[in-house]
Amino acid sequence: MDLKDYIAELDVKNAESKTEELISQGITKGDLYEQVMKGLQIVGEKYAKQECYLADLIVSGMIAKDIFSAAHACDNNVPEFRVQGKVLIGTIYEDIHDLGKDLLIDALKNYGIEVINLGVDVPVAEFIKHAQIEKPDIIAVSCVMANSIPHIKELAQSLKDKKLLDNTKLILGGAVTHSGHIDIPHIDFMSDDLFLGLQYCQNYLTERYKLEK
Amino acid sequence: MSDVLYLSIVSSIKEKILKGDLKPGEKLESEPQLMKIYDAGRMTIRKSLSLLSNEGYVYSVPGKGNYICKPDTDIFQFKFNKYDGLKTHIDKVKLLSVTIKDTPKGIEKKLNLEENDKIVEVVRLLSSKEQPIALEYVYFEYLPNQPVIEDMLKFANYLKPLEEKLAFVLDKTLEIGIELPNEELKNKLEFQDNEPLFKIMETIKNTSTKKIVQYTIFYIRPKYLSLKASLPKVDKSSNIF
Ligand code: B12
Repeated sequence: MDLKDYIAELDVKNAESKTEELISQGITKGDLYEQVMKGLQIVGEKYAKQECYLADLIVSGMIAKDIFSAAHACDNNVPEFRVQGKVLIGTIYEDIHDLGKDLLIDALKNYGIEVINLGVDVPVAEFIKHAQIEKPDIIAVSCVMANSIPHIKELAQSLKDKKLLDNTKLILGGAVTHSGHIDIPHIDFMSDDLFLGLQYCQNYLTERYKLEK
Repeated sequence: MSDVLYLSIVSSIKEKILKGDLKPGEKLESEPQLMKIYDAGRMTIRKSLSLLSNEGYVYSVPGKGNYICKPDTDIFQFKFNKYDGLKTHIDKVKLLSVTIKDTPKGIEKKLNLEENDKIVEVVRLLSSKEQPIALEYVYFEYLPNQPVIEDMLKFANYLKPLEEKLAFVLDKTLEIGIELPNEELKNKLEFQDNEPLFKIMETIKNTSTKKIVQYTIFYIRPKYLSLKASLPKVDKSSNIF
């Protein structure tokens, strides 16, 4: 069985040992992500068909996180993978979904990027406060609740007004971006694809710190 | 005629107990004496005594006789329901988080779980008139392929149907403490000073499967809760007077 199948079966033990095996065989990060995401997708489809339930979906996210942190632990000391930079991340106010956000966090940390996690249901003022203190390179917002879109607009406008975007990129991800119809001011990048978001951060930060050197 | 007689014997003896003429621990007259005093047959006296014993006034020691009960004055009982037994009306329940984790230390013992088992943690904030008053942490076992979270989200008091169905096998215990809030509690409950909080821990156990159905920690600001307990009252439903 593949790693994706173990994830799909929510088989924590075998998913862990398979991951170790793959890592020791030198699997690339891209391939590992692909496997994990496929596994999550299968669980998501099962959920849609009511073959499993919310708790199972959450557990699949947990397994994925564990896999990413195992991968992270392994190449912590391989310098060529490391990217400098700091990302401030949180799920917007009145939204408590954190599976997608947490996956992105682990993925970013995997590249050595510093991540400050504000958690879920983060009020606009809280984002602003930490943006001022931390001066991150990127502010990443996650949102799946359509009702929370006005808060993202408020955040974007407020960051702009306080000149906190002069030297910082603002990115948005999560299921609200799925339709592509939402219109938020001052957003630099938007996607519901974790890998694309990750690539954006990686490319931007690599460029930025190359220029500084 | 004898029907009315046995009831009047009951009220006569009860009156003596309530007035203190018969004291807790004292021996009651023997059956033949009672038969004489009340001019009643043995069956009638036995019927009266059995009713008095059902109501908790007397108990019998086989071969010795009947004694007046010594009520336990250390046992108090109170009614408690965290959703509608508070000093204020809860008008909003906000879901703060739903997470599944490896069973945290301290909780695993409460839930009778093994180290590798996973639990669901649901955190909810209860408010009244826009003011947060209580924070609730609910823990239960993660069971694959079961709508445990769905059930919980659908109804604020989702255990009610289960409680009604399993009334005889569910065993609940409450443990009440006072705790100074940590930063997280202060933030969530939106207050600054070091006001202590009531910490109410409720364990619901299914006595037939020996499983803990749910363990809840409920933090509430003291001004919204008062607990009043009294000695257990004799069950009035069996009272036919
Ligand atoms: C799991 C889940 C929950 C769990 C969340 C547990 C947790 N710890 O996160 C719980 C049970 C708590 C929950 C609660 C609720 N939920 Co819910 N939930 C879902 C569900 C089933 C899956 C969401 C999920 O985690 N998907 C998996 C992750 C990995 O996907 P994702 O978040 O989109 O993230 C991916 C990408 O978007 C991207 N990404 C995510 N963030 C970011 C950020 C950046 C910067 C980038 C680049 C990329 C990126 O990366 C991820 C991987 O590719 C969806 C329905 C569905 N099938 O999608 C409903 C859903 C999101 N929930 C919904 C609702 C309504 C609720 C409740 C209000 C229900 C209720 N009655 O109480 C509550 C409260 C919500 C609140 N206030 O936030 C609605 C939202 C409707 C809407 N569009 O507004 C949905 C769509 C269900 C529905 N069809 O009605 N929910």
